[in-house]
Amino acid sequence: MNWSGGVAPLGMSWQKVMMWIFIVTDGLLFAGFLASYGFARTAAPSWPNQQEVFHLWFISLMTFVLISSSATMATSVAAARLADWKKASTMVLLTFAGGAVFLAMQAYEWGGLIREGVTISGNPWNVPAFGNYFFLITGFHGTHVLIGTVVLLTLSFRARAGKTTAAGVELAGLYWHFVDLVWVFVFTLFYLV
Amino acid sequence: MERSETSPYGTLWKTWGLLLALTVVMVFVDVMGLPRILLLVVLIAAMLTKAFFISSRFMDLRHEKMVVGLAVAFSLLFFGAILFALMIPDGFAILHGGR
Repeated sequence: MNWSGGVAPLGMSWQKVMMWIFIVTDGLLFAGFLASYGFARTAAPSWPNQQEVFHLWFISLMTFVLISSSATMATSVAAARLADWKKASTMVLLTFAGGAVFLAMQAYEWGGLIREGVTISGNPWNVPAFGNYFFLITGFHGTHVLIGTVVLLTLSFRARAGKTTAAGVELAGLYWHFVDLVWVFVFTLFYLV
Repeated sequence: MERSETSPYGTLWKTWGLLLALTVVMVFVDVMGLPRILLLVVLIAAMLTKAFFISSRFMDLRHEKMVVGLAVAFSLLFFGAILFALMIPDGFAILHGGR
């Protein structure tokens, strides 16, 4: 037997391979959530009209914040590759700010719905599955954002202190873009469709 | 990886603009009140386009070996599609009293 793949058959470090494997598995978790939400929704005789339940402009603003934070993150990765650490750490800090703003907006949205009587087991529209899947899916996504903000804040300090490498910034970036990617699907399938 | 552009930032902010434009189109189409099937097709197409640009430009898959992008896209899209294809028809069956 002759293994000719060398030490990096995929042309990337094992850390990056592991991050991609994590992204695929975590992505499948969200695919499972969204598919079961689709099942519950098609099985339900009625579903609350999202344009009445949510403030669509507000959710769009949340989307804008998250996409922008993804762009600053990508800029940071590019800056780190050019060894421009000042720019890289500033951009990571901006990305962190975007994540924090997103979380604050989501907390505000949750608060509004909870005050209207939406819980995981019931809501004013008598479609229990609605609140259930809403809190499950946005909750899991929000938790990912929360973890991301902790990683990003740590990373910005480490970058400023010269304690991280371009590869380290890239790994954090992959995770952050994944969080944005999941939101693209949640935004479309839960808020728009 | 060797890069041909002198500054990599331009492409990234162009991608940002593209993603925002797609989001605006999606929200606009949603409030326009299109027929349900047409709305679904347009939204899902826009969603997958956004996913493509985020993964290829922001996550830099276009600069990796092609097998990485194919493996990621295949795993997620294929198994995601299987999940939807297995579960959604059952939802309709329950709604319409089928067994």
